[in-house]
This record gives sequence, C-alpha cells and structure tokens, in this order.
Amino acid sequence: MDPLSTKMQDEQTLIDSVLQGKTDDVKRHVQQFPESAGLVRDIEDLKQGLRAIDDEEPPLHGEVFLKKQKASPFPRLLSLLPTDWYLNPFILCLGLVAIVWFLYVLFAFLLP
Amino acid sequence: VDNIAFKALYDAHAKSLYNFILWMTRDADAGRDVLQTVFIRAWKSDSFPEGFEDRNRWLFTAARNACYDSFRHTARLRSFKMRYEAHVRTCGGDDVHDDVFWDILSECSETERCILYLHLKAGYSYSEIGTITGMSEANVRVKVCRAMKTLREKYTRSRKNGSAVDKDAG
Repeated sequence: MDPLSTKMQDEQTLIDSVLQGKTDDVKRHVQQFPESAGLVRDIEDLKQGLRAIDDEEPPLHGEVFLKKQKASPFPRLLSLLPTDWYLNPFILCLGLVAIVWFLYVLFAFLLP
Repeated sequence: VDNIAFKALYDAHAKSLYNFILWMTRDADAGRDVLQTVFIRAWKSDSFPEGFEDRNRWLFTAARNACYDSFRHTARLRSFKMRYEAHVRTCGGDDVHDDVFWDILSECSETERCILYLHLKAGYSYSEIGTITGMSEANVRVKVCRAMKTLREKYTRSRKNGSAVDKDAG
C-alpha cells in the first residue's frame, strides 16, 4: 500500500477511535505519532460540541395532527402550487403582462 | 394502532425525531411538516414493527426519506444549501455555542449530517446507521471520517477568525 493510502487509513482509524471513545487506542496512537495530537484534540472538541447542541422541544401531538383539519381552503389551494411559486419567473412575467394589459385598457378605453 | 397508543408512540419518539429532522433541514416549519408525514406513514403502515428500538429505527428511516422528499420539493427554485444557511440563524435559541456548531454543520452534505446525528446524538453504531440509510458499514465509516475532516477545517478556520477578532478588539 502506498504511503498516502496508509496515512489516510491511519487517520480514519484514529477518527473512529476518538468518536467511539477508545481512549487507550488514541493514547497509543498519539504516543507513536505525536503530530496527530492536534487532530485528536479538534475531533474531540467537535464531538463534544455537536453532542452539546441543545435539543428543541417538538410540537405537541395535538398541534401536529389538528393543524391540517383547521386549515382554511385558501392555504390548501396555495399548497397545490409549487414551493416559492411567487418567485417563479414565468408567473412573474404573467403578472407583469396582466398589469400592462390592465393599464393599457384603462388608459386607452376607459379614461378618455 | 388506536388513538391512545398512537399518542404514546408520538410522545416517546417525537423529540429525537424532531431534532433529527432539524439537523437535516434546519427549518422549524419544514420540521413540523416532515414530523407529521413520518407519523402519518407510521399510522398507515401495515408493517410497523413492535418494540421500542425497532420502531425507533423504522421512524428514523422514514424521517430520513421524508427529509429527502422535502429537499426534492424545495430544490425546484433554490438549492438546499442556500435554504439551510438562511435558516441557520433563524431557528433555535440565542446560544452562541449552538450558533457556532450549526454554522460548522452547514458545511456538511445532508447525508453526512444524517449520519453524524444518528451516530453522535442518537448513539447508533455504524452497522445500524447502514441499515437505516441503506449504505454499507464501510461506506458509513468513510462518510463519518470525511465529514469530521470537513468540519475540522471549518472549525479551525472559525477559531482562527475568532482569535483574529479578539486581537482586533484588544
């Protein structure tokens, strides 16, 4: 195996050992390769930091399952449209054409 | 499953599932919708397993699939990464520690975030994660390693930036 592959495999094994809390393996590895101490410290910090992210409370059972029943028909119609439909260039162009046409009719026929 | 049993099921699993979905989407509204979808799938399923652990695995698998469905739905106009980054600071509390780690997590792909949550927060082994995600154990191992390396780069950068800001302030 070439040295690069060996180095990558060693790194993977070391990261695995840190994540799974195999402290003896990690100590042995760091004693053998002192330059990996920085990697071990960073991975340990990341592991603790990610674990410590606060859990949020989920919505209550009733909130989740009664939501759809209470919804009015209008949002239900909106839900049939694609997400962010109002950003769709086609719909925006269509809206623009409708406004221009409305102004044309207003000024050309109705106002005079 | 009757109503009372279903409520008990919800109360037992909703918290870990909701937080898993938040790790994946970082969007409270999408989180509620996905959570609802998962429990409706459980309600309708003929093959919903017995036992806490088997149910938990089933629900995590369904949640992961529902998150991917949600990404496909929202990816029509904007990429998921943009959405994720936009929601990083709009969801959750005022905890600076959490903000730093949410920011770091946004560097990972959704698959990597999924695996990291299942391993670090839910405590699943690589082989169990492989069952949930449909990947081989070796693939999970490689992805965890790659994700941690990506996170380390970002973490080192953010620490350097932090110390530079401290020096400027000093």
